[in-house]
This record gives sequence, structure tokens and C-alpha cells, in this order.
Amino acid sequence: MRKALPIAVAVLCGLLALVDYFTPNPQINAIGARLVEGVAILAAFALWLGIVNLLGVHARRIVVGERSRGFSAVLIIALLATLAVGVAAPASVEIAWVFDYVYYPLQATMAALLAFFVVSAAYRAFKLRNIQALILLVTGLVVFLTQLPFSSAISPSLPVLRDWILSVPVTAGTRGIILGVALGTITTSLRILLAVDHPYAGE
Amino acid sequence: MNDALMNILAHLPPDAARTVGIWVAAVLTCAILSYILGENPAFRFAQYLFVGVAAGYAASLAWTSVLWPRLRLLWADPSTYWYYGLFFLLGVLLLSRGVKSISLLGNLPLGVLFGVGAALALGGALTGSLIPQMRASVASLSPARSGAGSGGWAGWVDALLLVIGTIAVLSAFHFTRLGQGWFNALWSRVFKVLGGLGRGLIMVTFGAILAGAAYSFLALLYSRLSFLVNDWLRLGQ
Amino acid sequence: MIVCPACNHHNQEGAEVSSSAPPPTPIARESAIATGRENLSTFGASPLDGLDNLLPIEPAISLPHRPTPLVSRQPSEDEERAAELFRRIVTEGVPSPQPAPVPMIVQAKVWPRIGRAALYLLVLLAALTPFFTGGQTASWVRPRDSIVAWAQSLDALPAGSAVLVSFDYTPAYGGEMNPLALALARQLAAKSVHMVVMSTKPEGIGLAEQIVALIAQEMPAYRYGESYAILGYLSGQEAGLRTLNESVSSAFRSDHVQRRALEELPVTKDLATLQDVRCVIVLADDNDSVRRWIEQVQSRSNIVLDALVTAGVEPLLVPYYRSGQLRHLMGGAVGAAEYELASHGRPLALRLTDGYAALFVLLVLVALVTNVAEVAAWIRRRRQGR
Repeated sequence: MRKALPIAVAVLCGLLALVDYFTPNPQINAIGARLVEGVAILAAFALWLGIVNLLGVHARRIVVGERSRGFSAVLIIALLATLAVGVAAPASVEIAWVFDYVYYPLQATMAALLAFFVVSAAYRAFKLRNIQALILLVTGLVVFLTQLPFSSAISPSLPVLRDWILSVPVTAGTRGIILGVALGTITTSLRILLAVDHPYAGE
Repeated sequence: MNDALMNILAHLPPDAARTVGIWVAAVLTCAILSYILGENPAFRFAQYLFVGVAAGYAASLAWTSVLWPRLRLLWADPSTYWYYGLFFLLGVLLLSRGVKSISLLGNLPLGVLFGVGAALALGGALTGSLIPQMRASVASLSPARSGAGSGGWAGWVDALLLVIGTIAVLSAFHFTRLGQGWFNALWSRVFKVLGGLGRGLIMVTFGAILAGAAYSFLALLYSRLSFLVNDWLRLGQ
Repeated sequence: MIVCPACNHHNQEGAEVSSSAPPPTPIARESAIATGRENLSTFGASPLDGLDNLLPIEPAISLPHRPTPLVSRQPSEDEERAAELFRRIVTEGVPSPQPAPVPMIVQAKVWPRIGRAALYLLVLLAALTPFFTGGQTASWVRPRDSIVAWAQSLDALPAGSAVLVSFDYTPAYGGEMNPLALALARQLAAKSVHMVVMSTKPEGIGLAEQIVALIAQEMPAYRYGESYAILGYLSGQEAGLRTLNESVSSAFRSDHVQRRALEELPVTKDLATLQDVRCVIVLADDNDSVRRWIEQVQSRSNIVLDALVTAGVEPLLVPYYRSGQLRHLMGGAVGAAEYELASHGRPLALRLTDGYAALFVLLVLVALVTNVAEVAAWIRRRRQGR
């Protein structure tokens, strides 16, 4: 019963959502719309579950007295303070201040570090050890050159070359990947809907 | 004490919040950039601060944008919005996953999430990706699309290369070994050749992505340096 | 008497075990062993009591024996030579045919560090180039036909029509996407097109607030609730988008800023479904966000969908553009500069073109240096191998 009930509910809800997806029946569409809106509510609760888990992990570190307990305290204080301001004063000057001067600079600068690391990675990736590395090097440099905003001033053929590279080989590559991913998604979804896989029913 | 504080705040210049904010942002930016020199306490502090603020921000938006408006509607009109009550109950059960002793209660809402998610993903992948992309691959071979003249022929050749390339990329992910016999040996040889071509095309795609990523990251770094130079140090003004 | 074949001593035969015999003391036992002669009765009852003569060899194997004395002999000449060689190996050691190589520890630690520091410095210089050169290459930029056409299509939107803009990127890519978002918002606001703003990521709302706050400062007539509105964060990914596709008011029960129902705001009161907007513009930093919009919204309701994405993500979405599922696709970093020109906007992204040129030179340099170093190492290994 412990496993059977969640599996039965998953299969039932899944099949209902699937029928709603492909059927224009108004009654089924109405039920399906409520079900899907309900899932959006559950997704918000899932986000809260992650927050609760994060708080628990770091609170445990403080209680146990780990070396990083100071940093864990910083995390917990920052989380609770931001949550309090965001809930008490949504779309306010205060929460905008936190976002503009704390959240945005932190995340933007972390991503900016990648500029250093991508060139460092290129140093290793551009070593011509095999034919695939050669393709990577040539394509990377050619696409970079053709994508320069002023490439048409260097040569009128460069924008044409860029369009061709994106339209033919890159499209072939990514279309194959998209088809493969779509087939994989369909297979995995069918396994869940037919109760072959039920990762949610475990301990 | 409160009066003194209010007095101080009242006498602050109007853009004091912005000035303080710029200094806070600059210090945090420098703390993150210090990672280039190696892991250090300033970077770790900034890292943990970021996780806390990001989590708090997301949680507050989940409440104010998703949960609170629906809770108000359920309270105001329970007969119309009764199903919100059901999902709120399931949501509370989902939170029990955080407590080991009662985590099994969370399996029911997880089942709903997985079931509906799988159905939507299946429908979307079929009607939004698989069929339109296959249709586009085949339709591009139509001579009517390519037009007349040498330009038309060039377009048709491009379309043919596109279809062959797509099949080659799919072949690159084919790992099943075929059985014995001359026919299977021939197919294995075909798959091997196509798979090699497919892997080459995948590397071309990665090269294009790498070039794009290099552009992106330079823009990100310039943006932060521009903030430090123009907004914080005011050297550009 | 039985003679032990090992030590040639005589053992008592037929000795009887006395059950009344006291257990032997340790001293008595040791003296019995020391003399090499032993009486079974000295050690008390044996497991083999009553089994005399069943195993005639029993006394020979059960009684202690005197070890056989070693017979000394002279080693042979070969044995003497082997022993001498062993002594020399142990005492003198083996002389090495060539001097031991000096480990290059100092170089192995220093060169990669210096190389990495030099590389990081060059990247920093490339990013700082626009500050020194002041946008020399900006005047060479010519927007592509596709970008000009898109800017013109936005220009052609009638005043008062609505466009849904979804800020599906994070602050990580704010440096690249914000100039694009600002140019887009400026063009829409200048044409008095209503902007209905949302996000499928929580942090996208903060970014949206930043952009619309700037527009509101520049154009006070562009007012919240009348000209634009922020709907808020849409949770649930596929489920949220599916709900949005069915009904906008089911997805967003109130707006983000004034907390009012959508029917109460002038800009959203006529917005029942996505068919009521002219187009949907998604600003994204990952291909999954755009793919979800295509799969859950565009494929179901055939709306006009434009995607403005980061430069690294653009190649992954080209098939959707080629198949017509996306009306327009633009990469942020480079596309922003061209779009600013095409829409006659302020040159924020245009300033960076010198930096892109510097980065290209740096990448070519990196490719040359890494392969020259590789060839040099190969030549060195071949010489050492000879």
C-alpha cells in the first residue's frame, strides 16, 4: 500500500494530463487545467522543501560545531533576512536594494570569473591531439571570427560563411541532439506513466 | 534610541542608500574576483552569502507570487477554489520529506508531480520537438522550397547535407552491436562511417558553442569591470 | 626395546601407564625431556591409552627426539664465489651506468603558475581594452538583415498593443542580456506598446524590475498598470507554462507590484489568453527555457515567439528557428550591438566590440602557443628517447 498508492496516483494523474494534452473535450480540459495549476502550486512547495533542507543542513553544522559553522551562520542569517524582507515588503525599495546590490553583483561576478577559465580551458582543448580537437579548434576560431560585429568590414564573405555554418553543420548537429533528447524524454516519460520506473515511491 | 536613529536617517543624503549599496556591491565583487588568486575566506563568505540571499529571494517569490494569492482566493471563495485546498494539503505533505521519520508521506505529492510532469514532457517532446523537427528536415528537401537556378540547387544541396548530417549525429549515439551475417556487417560499416561523421558534426557544434560562450563571458567580465571603474571608482566620469 | 629411527635412542617398550600416578610437575617434565628419555607414565593418561601395539610407530613419533647434529663440510668453489659476490653486492652497492636525473620540481611548480597568471592577465587586458580604445571598431558594425527586419517588425507594432516579455535569465548573464533587454524595452516604450512582464525564474523578476525602473525614470509617461505590468514569477516549469497557455489569469492570480487581480489593471484587463498579445519575447540564458516555451506554448497555440538568448545558447536553438517555430532568434553579446544600431538605441553593447577583437587575438595566440609548446615537448621526448 505504501508504494502502490503513490504509483497509482502518479499513473492516474499522468494519464489524465496526457489525455487532456491530446483531447479537446471541455470537461477533461477543465479537470486537466486544475490539475496542472495544482502542480504549479506543488512546485512552489518543492522549492520551499529545498529551503527547509538547506536550513536543516546548515543548522546541523552550527549545532555540531563544524569548522565552517561561521559561514553556515552567514547563510542562515542571509536567507532569513532576505525571506523576511521579501515577504513583508514584496516589490519594494528594500528588496530591490538587496537584489541590486547583493544578489546581482554576487552572481554576475561569479559568472564573470568564467572568462578566465574558458580561455584556460581553450589552452587545453586547442591542443591538436586528434582530428576532433582540430575540428573544435578550426570551428571555434572561424565562428568567433565570423561572429565579430564588424566581420562584414573585414570581408563580405564572413557573414555569409557564418550563416552557412549555423544553418547547415551546426543545425545538423543540434537537430540530431534535439531528436535524441526528445526520444529519450518520451521513453523516460512512458516508463513513469506505465509504472515501470517509480523513483518517487522509494524510502 | 529609536528617535536618535530616525533623526540620523532623516539627515542622510537622498542617495545614501545607493552610495552604501555601491560600496557593498564593490566589496562583494572584489571578494568574488579574489578567487583568481586562490580560495580564500573572503570568497567563501561571499559564496555562502550568495546562497543564502538566493534561497531567501526564491522562497519569498514562491510565497508572494504563487502561494499567498491562491490562499487568499481559497479563503475568500472556497466553493470555487476548493481544489487549491487539496493541493495545499499535498504541498504540506511534500514538506514532510524534510523529516526522515515521516518522509513517506511525501511520496503521494511526489507521485502527482512525477506523473503530470512526465505527461507534459512526453506531449511537449512529441508535438513540440520530435515531429516539427522531423517535418522540417524532410520538408527542406522539397525542390519547391529551394527555388530555381544555381541558388536553388545550392539550397537543395544544403538541405540534403542537413538531412545526412542529422542522421549521422543520431548514428553517433548508436551503441548496439548487430548480429552476424553480411547484411548486418554492411549495416555496421554504414553506422560506423555515419557515426564518425556525426561525431565530427557534434565537435563543430561544440566549437560554435565555445565561441559563443567566449563572447558571453567577456561581456560578463566587462560588465563587472565597468561597474567597478565607472560606478564605484568613478574613473570613467 | 624400540630404537627411535631419528635419534637412535632406545625407548621403553610396553611401558604400563599407572592410573594412580600423580600428574607430572613442570620440573619433572623438563628433566624428562632434557635427558631425551621419556616414560609415558610421567605425563599421565594419553589419548591412546589402551591402544598399545596398534601403532608400533607411535612411540617413535610421540616421544621427543634429539635433533640430528649437523655434519660439517667444506663449500665448493662455486659456492665460495657465489658467497663472495653476495657479500660484495650487499656491502658495496651497484654503480649506476649514468648520473641520476635531477628532478625538475622547481620548474614544474613555477612554469604552470606563471603561464596561468599571464593568461589571466591577458584576459583582463582584453576585457579592459574598450576602456582604452573607446570603441574604435564600433563604427564598422553593420547590423544583419535579420536583426534590421526584427527591429522594423517591433517598430510596426501599433501603439496600445500588448507584448509579453519573459525575463528567463539570471543575474549571471545580466552583463550580456541587460543591454539587450534595455534596448528592447526602450523601443517598445517609445512606440507606446504595452509590456506585460513575467519570468519562469525567481531572479528574473528582480532583473525585470531593474529594467522597467530605468524605463520609468527615462519616460515618466510610461506608467505602471497603464503602460506596463509585472505579472510575477511562474512556478512549475512545464506545468506553469501549460497553465499560462490556457489562461493568463489562472497562471497569475494577481500582479507582482500592486497585488491586484489582472482584471483590475488597464494593461491586463483584456488579456484572457496569449492570443491577446501580439508576440511573446523570451529573454533566456539556457536552451531549456526556450524549448519549454516552444513545446508547451508555441506548439499548442501557434503564437509568435521570439527568442533573445546568450551567444553560447544561440547555436542550440537554431533548428527551432530554421523550422519556423521561432520567428526570430538573436544571440545576446554580438546581437545586442547590432540591435542597438538597428533600433537607434543608446550604445551600451557597442562599446564592447574592441574587447571582442582583443579576445579573438588572444584565442588565436592561445591556440598557437599551446600547439608550439606541444610540438616542442614532442621533439624533446624524441631526443631523450634516442
